[in-house]
Amino acid sequence: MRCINCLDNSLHPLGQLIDDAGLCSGCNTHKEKDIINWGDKLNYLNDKCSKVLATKKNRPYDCIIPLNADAEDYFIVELALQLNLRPLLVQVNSYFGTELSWKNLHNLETHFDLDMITFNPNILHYKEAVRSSLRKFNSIYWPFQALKTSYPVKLALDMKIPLILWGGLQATEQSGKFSHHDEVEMSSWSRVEHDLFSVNEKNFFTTGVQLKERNQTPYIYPQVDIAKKVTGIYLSNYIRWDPWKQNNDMLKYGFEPEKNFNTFDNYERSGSSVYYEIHDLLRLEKHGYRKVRDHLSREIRHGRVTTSHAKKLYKKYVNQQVNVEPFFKWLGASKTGTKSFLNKRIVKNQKLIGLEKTYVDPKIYFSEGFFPDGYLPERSYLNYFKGI
Amino acid sequence: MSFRVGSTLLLSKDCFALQSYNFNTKRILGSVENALHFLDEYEVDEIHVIVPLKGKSNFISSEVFSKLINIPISTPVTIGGGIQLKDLKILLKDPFFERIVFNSAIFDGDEVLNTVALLMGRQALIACMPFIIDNHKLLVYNSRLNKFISISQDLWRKINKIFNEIILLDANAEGTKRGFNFNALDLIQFPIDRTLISGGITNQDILNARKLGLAGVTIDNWVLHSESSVKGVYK
Repeated sequence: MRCINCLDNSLHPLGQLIDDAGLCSGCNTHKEKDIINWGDKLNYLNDKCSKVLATKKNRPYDCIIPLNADAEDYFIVELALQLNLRPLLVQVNSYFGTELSWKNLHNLETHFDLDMITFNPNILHYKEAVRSSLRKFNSIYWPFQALKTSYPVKLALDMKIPLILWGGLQATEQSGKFSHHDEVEMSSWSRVEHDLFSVNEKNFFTTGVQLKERNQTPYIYPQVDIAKKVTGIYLSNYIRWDPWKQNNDMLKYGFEPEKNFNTFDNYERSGSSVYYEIHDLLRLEKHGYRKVRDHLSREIRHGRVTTSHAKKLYKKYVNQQVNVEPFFKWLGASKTGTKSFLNKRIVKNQKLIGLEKTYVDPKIYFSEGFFPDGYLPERSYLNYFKGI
Repeated sequence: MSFRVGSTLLLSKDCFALQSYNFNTKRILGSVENALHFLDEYEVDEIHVIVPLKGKSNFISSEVFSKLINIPISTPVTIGGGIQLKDLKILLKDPFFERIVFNSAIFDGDEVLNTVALLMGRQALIACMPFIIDNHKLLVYNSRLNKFISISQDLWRKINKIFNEIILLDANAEGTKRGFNFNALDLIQFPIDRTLISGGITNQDILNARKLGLAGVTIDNWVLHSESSVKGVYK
C-alpha cells in the first residue's frame, strides 16, 4: 500500500502503517510537529539533562556526541553548547570517508575547540565483518552501525559520562514509528531494531563470520543492566526536527556540503564514499527504493515540494548509475568475485551498475529549499586524512 | 501472588509487533522476536501477546501465534485475540503460553471458555476489558460488536465465576503516560487483588496500584522506549 501524501509505502524497512484515510504513519506523526509547543519541549530537555547529570559528580565531560561526519554533528554540538553542556566528540571511523568528511570533522573539532576521540577499528577485522554483512544480508553497514552504537556507550561507561546526545531518531522522522511524546531513548532494543536491521550480534556472528570471539568484542553492546547507566537522548523528540534547514544553517560554522548526483540534499551523510553509491544500490535491490525517496517524503511533509513534483524528481534520480568498483577494490575482492557477487545479488538493477551520472538540477521542483554549491570529493575510502 | 509489572505486546495479523495509542492510532513497533527477546531481558513479570481485532473477523489467530513457538524466552506469556475453538485444538498441542486472554468471549463465548478451563484450568483465563467511563458509568469494549457497552450484574457474576483475573484497560489513556483512570476501580464488581490495570500507566500509578493491593499493572508501549523502563519502576 502507498501513502496518498508522500512517496512511502507499507514496505518501508523501518515499518510503515497506512491508515484508513491512506496516510502513512510518517505523515501522521509529522503533523504533531505543528501542534507541539517546542519551547516547552526544549525546557523539558534542559531539565532532563540536568536530572541525568545530577547522578554523576566529578565527570570529565557532560555528554558524548557520536559523530556521522556530516552537518547534523554541527547542529547537535551547537545545541549542546546552548544547553551549557560540555561535550566529548566521538567518531567511529567507518573507513568509508572521503577527504570532505575528514575536513568537516577537523573543522568541527577546531571551530568549536572541543575534544574528539576517534576509534579506528582493526581494519582487517572490519573488512571481514563488512564482507560477512554483504554475504549474509546484502548490506555493508551492519559492522559500522554496530560499532557506532556500541563504542560511544562503552566509552561513556568507562569515563563515567552519563549522557549521550543522538540527533534525529530515524524511526520517528522517516516512518513515524513513535509519537514525539513517547520520548524514546537509545536502548538495546532500539539499537537492534533500528540500527542493526533486526540482526543482533548473536545472529550476525553465529555462522560464516571468520572473526575470533575476542575480535568480535568491539561490536558487542554492553549488557542491559550496565547499558542502562547511560541515558541516550534523541534530540528530535525535543526540537522541531527539520534536517535540511538546520543542516543548511551549519554553513555559518564552515561546514562544507557535497555535490551529490543521487539526491538533492547535499548535507545528509555528505563525505561518504558508499552511502549514495553501493549502499544505495543495495537498498534499491533489497527494499525497492533509493535514499532520495526518504528525502523527498520528508520535504513533502515539510511542505517544500508537492507530491507530483516529488514523484517527477524521484524518477530522475532513481536511474542514476552507481560506481561499485571502488568499494570492491577497497574490500579486496577479486574481479571474478566481484562479478559473481554482482550477478547473483544485483538481479533487478544490473543496468544501474556503471559510471554514467547526470547532474539533476532540483531547484525547479521545490517551492523553497537549500541548494548550496557542493564540493566534489576527489578521494574516497580514506583510512585517515589530515588537513582542513 | 505478589504484585506484577507486565507488558502488553500487540501483534498484527502478519505478525509484526504494533503499538496502539488511545485505542485508535496504530504504529509499527517492529520485529516480534526482538520485542519478546528484550521484554524478557528487561525482566517484565509477564507478557500479554494480543492480536487486536475490531468487529467480526474470520481471522485464524492460531496461524499467528504458532509463529511464536520457537522464540526462546523465559517470561510467562499470555496470548489473546480472536481465539476460537478450532484455534485451541492447534495451540494446545504444544502450548508455549501460560494463559489466554479473552474479550468478546466474555459476552458470548461460553464454549471456548469452558474448554480452556477444562484443559488448562481456570487460572489460565483472563478477561481483557478495555473501558471508557461515560457519565460515571463503566462501558466495556466488545470487540465483536466493535463498541463499548455496559456490563449487567449477571455478566459480572459470570466474569467472577469464570475468569481468574481481569485486565482493565483505560482505552482513552492507552499508549500515553497520561495516567490510568483509577475511578474505574469503583465501578467494577470484581476483586481488586485479581485485577490488573493497563493504559496510561505512569510510575506513580504503579506505586498507587501496589498500595491499593491490585494484582499488578500491564504497561503498554513504553517498556521498550528506554533501557531502564521496568528496572526504573522498581527503584
